[in-house]
Amino acid sequence: MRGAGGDSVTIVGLETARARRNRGRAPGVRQVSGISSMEISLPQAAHLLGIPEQTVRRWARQGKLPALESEHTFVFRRSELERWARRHGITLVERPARSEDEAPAEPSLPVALERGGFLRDIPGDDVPSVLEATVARMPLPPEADREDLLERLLQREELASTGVGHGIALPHPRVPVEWAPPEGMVTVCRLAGEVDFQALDGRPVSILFVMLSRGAPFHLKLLSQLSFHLRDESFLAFLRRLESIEELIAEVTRRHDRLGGGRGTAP
Amino acid sequence: MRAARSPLFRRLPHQVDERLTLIICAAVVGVGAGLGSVLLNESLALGGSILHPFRGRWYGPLLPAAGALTAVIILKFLFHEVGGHGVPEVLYSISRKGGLLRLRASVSRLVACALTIASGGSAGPEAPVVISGASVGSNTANLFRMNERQRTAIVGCGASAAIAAIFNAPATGIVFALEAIIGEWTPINLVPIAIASVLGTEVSRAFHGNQIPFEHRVFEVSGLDLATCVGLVLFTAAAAVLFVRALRMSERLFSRLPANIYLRVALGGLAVGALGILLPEVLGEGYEVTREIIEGIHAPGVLLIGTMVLAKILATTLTLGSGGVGGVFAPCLVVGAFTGLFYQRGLTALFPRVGWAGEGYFGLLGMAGVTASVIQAPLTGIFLVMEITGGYDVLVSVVLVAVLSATLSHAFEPHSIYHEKLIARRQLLRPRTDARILSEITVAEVLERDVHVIPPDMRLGEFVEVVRQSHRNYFPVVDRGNGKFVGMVHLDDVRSYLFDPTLYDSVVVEEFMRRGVPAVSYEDELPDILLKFEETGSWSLPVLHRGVFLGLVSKSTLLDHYRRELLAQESD
Repeated sequence: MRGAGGDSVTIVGLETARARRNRGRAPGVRQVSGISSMEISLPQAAHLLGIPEQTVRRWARQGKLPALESEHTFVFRRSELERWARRHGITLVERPARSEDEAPAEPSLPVALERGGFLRDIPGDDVPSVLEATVARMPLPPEADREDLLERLLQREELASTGVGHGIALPHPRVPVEWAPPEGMVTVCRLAGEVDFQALDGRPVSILFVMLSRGAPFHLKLLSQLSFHLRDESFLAFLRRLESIEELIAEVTRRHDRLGGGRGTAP
Repeated sequence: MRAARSPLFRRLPHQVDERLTLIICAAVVGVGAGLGSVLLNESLALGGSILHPFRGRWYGPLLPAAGALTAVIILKFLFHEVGGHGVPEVLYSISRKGGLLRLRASVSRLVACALTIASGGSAGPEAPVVISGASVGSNTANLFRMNERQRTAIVGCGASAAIAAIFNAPATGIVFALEAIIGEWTPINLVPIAIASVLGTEVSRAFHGNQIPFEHRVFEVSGLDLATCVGLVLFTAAAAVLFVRALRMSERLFSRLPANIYLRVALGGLAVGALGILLPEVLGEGYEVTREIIEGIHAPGVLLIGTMVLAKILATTLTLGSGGVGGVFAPCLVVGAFTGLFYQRGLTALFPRVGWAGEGYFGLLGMAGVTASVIQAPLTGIFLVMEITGGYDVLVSVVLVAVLSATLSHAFEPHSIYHEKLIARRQLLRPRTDARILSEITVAEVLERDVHVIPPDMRLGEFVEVVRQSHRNYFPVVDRGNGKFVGMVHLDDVRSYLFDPTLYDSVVVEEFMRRGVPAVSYEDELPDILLKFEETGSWSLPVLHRGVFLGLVSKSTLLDHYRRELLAQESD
């Protein structure tokens, strides 16, 4: 008995039917047809279901999971697994482990800066108007909801000022935005005027680093790298006469290399 | 690589394929298990007729001992098995081994049981045929390359067909398999089991004809009869409890005897033989005397009948407790019939003017009551009595007595005679129960290996660096030399020192780790591990194999796995 599913329907697509016929004719010959892409191995199934391989093997043996018995191991049909998981309320891990979509473990400030870009002459004379103008001009991905982002940024400012002193503020949304680019983005903005951000040192703010990332740990690492540079008086001076994002990236990379700061954490 | 094993089925949609295969397999098993029952029935009849002339001789009382002894010797040397009634073996196999049973089990018990009962041992033929049928099912399922869930269903098919064939009772077979063997009622099980049961019955009818074992007259059941049968419940429940306890005690007593198993069986057989001199009715499966009671032609008085209840219980417990091979179904029927008759005689003595429904009526009710109580399966009791007597006119009373008696005896003996040993060993795992879910998950599946292992001579400063890189709170300490686990560092214990750089070079791990940490073994089962979590109150326990650290198990991961297992157990 090779089948093991409890499914009511099986996908009998054209390809499947042909592959079955072929196999019926030449048993034991591995098919390199369309069906191969639908059939997945045991480790792949384990990854898709997010469970250990031992568990997948046991479930297949016990007949809980629809599986095909191959010599000494099991193979699975992706479509059957999907239907099974849906029926049993088990969530499939949709993305494969190494996708370009996956966030890198260690954020890179230069990469995030490149993604975020540099905006100058942001108008506005208070925090909401400045942030509104910023959000309107930020290079966000198409699926971004700008209104929602502005709201989250303002919520965060209400909670506590993001002004870190020396005329710098680091606005970021209170709850991470799920559509943020996986590598994170930091948009540098130079304001047209000076705005009171209620910073700790009381000085008005003229430069913003708007930080977006998908999760808190990533955000913290990025923040830690940025504040490492911001502590340096010469970097602040450099920022005031900043003309392009390329300049800034080069400067950040240079300082990074010079100080040997592989990690963004404080030395 | 993926060989097409059955090109015909390959083209059918998946589920049709599965159901069809199950049904075909069930049919094969139904016929096989039915043949097993027929074989046992034939050999019982043959053995009975061969031995009958010798019953009256001086060595007649020795026959049960000789039969039981031969049975055990054959079982031991030919099949390498031990005696007992054996249904727990099937249940254990379903609980823990995905329904795997040895092929030899399909004949061994039949032979042993035939010898035991034909020679006069007080036992029933149904437990051996259940094992036999279940084994036929398990091995046929393997031929069909089935997975464990399907194999379990087919084992149920074997049991169902066996019961159906031995009693000529198809519905009882179905109900018994679902209620007593499989333990859950799902459509996917029901269809093959029903088919096996039908075929098993047909096989038996092909050989023996469609006989109802105990024909009865039609009873005139009045409202008064229905009311008084509630009183019978007290007696059936008492008889059942007595039966279960006596069997347990007899097993304990015989196991205490220093002598070997052969001597034990011989002793049991001798005692049964001696009892048979006084009361020959207790010998064998006892169908003859049951028939007399149901037909209302059993003559003896109330006292003798009361004695018979006790004597039959004694004879059965002696036979089975000493290691004889056979089942409890038939003895239950006999005990029940006597109990019912006893009650009826008592009623007639107390209220001679009332026209009671008849001896057979109460006999039937007694059979249903005692059977339902002893195996704690009221439906099986009801259907069995209905089908073997054809007494559908008394259905209401039978249902009433069976369920009430099962409930009442449940208060004293909560577990079925089939289950209690498995429950005592925590091995009865019914589908969809907590114990079942836990027992399926193995330590290997929940083992967390992504832990930082540290040596005992590591300095605090180095440890701080490990903490920085790890996302865990527990750090197992493992000896550099022999790889043995020596202790564990819990972050909470050292949190206050972590920020004191003056200690970084002066303190080593050995000085702040916990020693004598409770650990679990790689072979441990999850219920035991959970117990350890409860006892120790910890969230993470190290897993060791011969002292070597393998990884951690933690409560939070367990919950994750537990929930997924629960979701996966839900059948389609």
